[in-house]
Amino acid sequence: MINKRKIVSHLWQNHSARAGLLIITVVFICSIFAPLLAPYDPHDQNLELLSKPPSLLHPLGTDFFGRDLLSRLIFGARVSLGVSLIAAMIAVVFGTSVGVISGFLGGWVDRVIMRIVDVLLGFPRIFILLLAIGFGRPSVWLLIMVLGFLSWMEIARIVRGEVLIIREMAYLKSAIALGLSQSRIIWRYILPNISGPIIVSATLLMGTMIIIEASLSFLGLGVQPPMASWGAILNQGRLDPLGAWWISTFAGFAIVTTVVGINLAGDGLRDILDPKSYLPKP
Amino acid sequence: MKNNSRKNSEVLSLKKSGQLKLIYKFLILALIILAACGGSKKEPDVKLGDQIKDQVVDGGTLVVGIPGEPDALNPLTALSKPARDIISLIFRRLADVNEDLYSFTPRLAKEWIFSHDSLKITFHLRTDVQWHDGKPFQAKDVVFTHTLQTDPDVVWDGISYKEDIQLVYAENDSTVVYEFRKKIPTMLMDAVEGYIIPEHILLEISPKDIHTSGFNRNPIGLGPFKFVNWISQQSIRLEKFNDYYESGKPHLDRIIFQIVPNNITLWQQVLSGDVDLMENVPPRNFIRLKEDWDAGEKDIRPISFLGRQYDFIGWNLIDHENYSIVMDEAGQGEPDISRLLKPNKLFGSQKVRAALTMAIDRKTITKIVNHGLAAQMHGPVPLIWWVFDESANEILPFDPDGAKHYLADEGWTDSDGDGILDKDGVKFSFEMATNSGNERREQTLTLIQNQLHQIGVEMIPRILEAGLLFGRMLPSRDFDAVLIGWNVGLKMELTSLFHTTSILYPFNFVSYSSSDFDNWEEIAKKSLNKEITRDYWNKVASRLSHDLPYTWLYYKMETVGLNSRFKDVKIDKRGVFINVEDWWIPTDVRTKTDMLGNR
Amino acid sequence: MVAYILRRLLGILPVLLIGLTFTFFIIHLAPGDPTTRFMDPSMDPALKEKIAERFGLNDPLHFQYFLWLKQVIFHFDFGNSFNSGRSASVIVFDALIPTILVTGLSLLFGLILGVLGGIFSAINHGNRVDKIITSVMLFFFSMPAFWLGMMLLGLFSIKLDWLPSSQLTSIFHDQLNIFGRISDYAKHLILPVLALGLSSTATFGRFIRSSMIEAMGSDYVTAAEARGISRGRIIIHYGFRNALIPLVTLIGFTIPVLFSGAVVIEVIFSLPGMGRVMVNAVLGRDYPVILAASTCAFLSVLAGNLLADIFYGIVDPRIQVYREVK
Repeated sequence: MINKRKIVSHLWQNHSARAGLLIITVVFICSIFAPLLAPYDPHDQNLELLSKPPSLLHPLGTDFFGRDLLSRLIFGARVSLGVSLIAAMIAVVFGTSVGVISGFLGGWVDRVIMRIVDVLLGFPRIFILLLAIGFGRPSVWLLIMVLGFLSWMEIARIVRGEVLIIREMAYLKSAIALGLSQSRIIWRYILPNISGPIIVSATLLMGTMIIIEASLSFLGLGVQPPMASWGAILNQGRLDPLGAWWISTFAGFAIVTTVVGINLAGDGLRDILDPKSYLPKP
Repeated sequence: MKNNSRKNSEVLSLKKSGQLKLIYKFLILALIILAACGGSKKEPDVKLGDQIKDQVVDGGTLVVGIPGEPDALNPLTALSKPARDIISLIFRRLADVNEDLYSFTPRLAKEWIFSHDSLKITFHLRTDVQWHDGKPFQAKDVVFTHTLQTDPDVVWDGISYKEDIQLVYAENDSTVVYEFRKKIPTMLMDAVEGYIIPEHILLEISPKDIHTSGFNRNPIGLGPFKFVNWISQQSIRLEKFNDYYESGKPHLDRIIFQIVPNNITLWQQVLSGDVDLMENVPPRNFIRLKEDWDAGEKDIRPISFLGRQYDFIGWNLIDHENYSIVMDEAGQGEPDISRLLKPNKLFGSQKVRAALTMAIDRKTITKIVNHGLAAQMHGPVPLIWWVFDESANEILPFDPDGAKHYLADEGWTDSDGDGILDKDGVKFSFEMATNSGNERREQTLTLIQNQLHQIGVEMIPRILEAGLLFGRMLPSRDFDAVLIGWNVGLKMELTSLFHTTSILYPFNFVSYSSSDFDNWEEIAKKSLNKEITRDYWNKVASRLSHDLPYTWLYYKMETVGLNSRFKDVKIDKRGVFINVEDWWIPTDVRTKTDMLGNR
Repeated sequence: MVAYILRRLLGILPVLLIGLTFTFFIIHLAPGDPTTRFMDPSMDPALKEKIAERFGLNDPLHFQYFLWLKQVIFHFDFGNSFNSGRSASVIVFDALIPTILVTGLSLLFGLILGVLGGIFSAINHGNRVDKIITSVMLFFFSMPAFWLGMMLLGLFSIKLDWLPSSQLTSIFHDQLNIFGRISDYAKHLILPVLALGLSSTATFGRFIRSSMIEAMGSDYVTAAEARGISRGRIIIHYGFRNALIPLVTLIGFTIPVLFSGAVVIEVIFSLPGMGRVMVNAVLGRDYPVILAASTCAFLSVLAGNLLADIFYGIVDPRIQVYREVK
């Protein structure tokens, strides 16, 4: 059904997808090998060099504590990617389960679930995030949970749609007629056939997650120091936008580049895996 | 023009005026002068004046940038800082405290007389004062104000000032008598605290409904400026009150408060001249402004003065799991709770607290997070109290090696070689919490974390929403260490912070208990003799700075940016708006905003 | 049609009720205490009780809930703000206007620019113009709106001082004539709308482009071309029409996203909108305002969806039937 090698080679032939893939690879390498790549310890405070502009010693400058910005961004990639990756995974697993159940069982279960999805989708997410994080003890895991469990609805919707189509196909009808167990039908016949759209939306969702995480840090509700996501670094720079322009600028640049990379790869994947779907998922 | 004003700024203004401005009242008992603050730092009082009084001209607009929407313009219910500032322009007290924080200047009262037994103060009121709606101000307004202030349904936040007042009554339309239960050092201060409100308007509103009354957004006062309009979340406009009792004042035509929540944006508006006055200028911008001002390049005057706020680390001295059990027992009539509390396994030891204090480079922190705009603080007595004496404090040096030795003496060593100290299998790792939204404290936390790391102590910063921190964690003692600040009141007292009995209440959240402190502070607070007062406060300071329930960090300076076109400005520790009715603008430097309304 | 709208309206009510009930219990059960705002060391704990009593926080929670519900349903009264004592619904209503202005204008801006860009890109499918437009759109699509806002603010307001950096009106607003007032609003709104609108431009543009390309490659377009129908007519009548219906759905999805974005943008540009009210209310535990603001957010989004549905029905009458079957 999905040939992994074929996907990669297809992606590679598409120029923009290739660029996206490269960007993602670089960012992932940075986050995995952060301790090796970062020129300084990201928490090391050099109180002699407080908020200095980019120089040879500190290519991207230093922040208000004399910490090397480049090292902080490299380590920040871990936090930003980690948070968005895990949150996206939660959303995908939960959203797929809900979507499959809703689409496969149909009837009143489907109606109720879709009603709930409508409500959650309709409510401005930022309010829920504000409530959840403003009223809880902030921690990375709360952040991940909140992000994850507020983003499964779109995937559930897509998956349900796909399941509805597959359910009408001859091979599935015969599988049901053969009396195979529901779980076997779901695992063996449904999931493999809808993996394309799931992978595509999971990829694009990761980009969205990075942006939402950054917005939350912007409102002061993101990860706690000394851990620093890109959003948190960006927000730190806001304290002195003219005097220390490099902090927000480079952090924002890191975010935009990564999200562009993810979206390029996601678009490429969509062309290969899910060519019928053109509706960009908002 | 610029040079001129520079010269003028050096001329001492002889104008006298005063107005006690309370931010959050906190400590009780007040007085006298502050001579020196924090060793080398001289009182950076602002003397901007103009000696040529003849030139004073009326007209012009003051645009003030404030960070948030005021809660209510009602002296009885307002709590937010912007609201209190605006109220101070619309309303008046009977008398305002002077810069010495000891003597008072008459306002609505012409004079006051103490009775022979010193239990009564008789105030003779001005008879030429009008409310903004034209009704005359009378003694019944003062009596009415006191009635509402002490009404439990109103929940006025200054109610503790009125505790010792037995009775307030009017002898006639212009004479009011305050009767006290006992002789205390702060009788006058207690009597005049609080703005007078109009009886003829508020009489019909039941005290329960005062918090939702229309008066809160449409106040009638008798101050130099009257309320005009309030556009929600945007601006509040005040206009000159033509029948103000001090004839010829105020000089300015109007004051507009613009709400700009973002500090940096607001600062930019000050620089571009859209806003004339801003408090809490971010220190790094203030320093830059100061350099430009000294070079004669900016027409924004940087003003800094010792304020009312300090930050410290509070160590939880007790085991919090034990605390709730003890509190339940205390409810059943067990009086001596301090005996029942178990010490905290980390901070229960004075030596550990001393070690942590020594490991924290308080001098560098003061310098970096405040950009030099703060004084170091080593003990419990705030720098603006007249009893403040730096030498009374026991001052620990910054000494990481010494700190390590202290900790080793207490059994904390790195036995497993992971870089973090441990003892009996327990790691020296704890959380230090602070409230969110305070850049200075978040920075301090980051620095402290780094410094403690150097001696093998793991500190995990926690930036928590203020409601959670103050509402839940501190009252239930569910914390390890906390980095917060207090606002300093004009009354001298530390009872609620450190007294043994206060362990039952939220404010002694470190659960400090010492019979020496309890006795000494009691004497210091009640004594009518200055020498005794000073001696006992020194004893208190030396005791607490040794016991270190807190590690005091820095005493903040206020930073204000003011457009230099305003003359005869007086700004000091009592606040920014103490003499706004005297401010004026020379005609040659008027801007577009000054002409507002004169189409 | 009328019956359909009524049915939809009735469908909204339970959704609204469930959402609000949920919010009510979350905020009341979560840690934090509205009375701590009044905390003062010299304050008698008995006074704290008084405050809690005034706010009605001492009653059992289910009792508070039903009382609140009764007030909302029968009097549309959300209670008074714990902070200022003002009516919560008035506070929210005041703040709603700027938010609707920013959201609406951004949507309009994004829609116009996005549709034009998408069509233009699709016509030039495959060539350089298409590639440039596509890349620019992807760039804005990948950019956090608040970062764009920060950059715009930094450049045009702070550095160049061309445009105001905060508020909705200047202090001279009252003195201006009608044109002056409009341009005063415009000056204050241009940057926030640009910051928010550009990201939605990308959303719409990318969508229009894909569905146009799909349509232009379809048999009926080829047939139309064969019949000699002019190219412009084909683009509008066959290509764009085809994209119109799903576009309406997309708008329905975009409104809540824009609304969330507006909250953040308002914080950057210090606009007196829902964002500030909501953030302050959450941080200050101002329950009545939180609930009023949530209701308002719910209502506006549901109303947006309803409008989209109605518009749907107008564009394509088959939709109703289709929805019924589904």
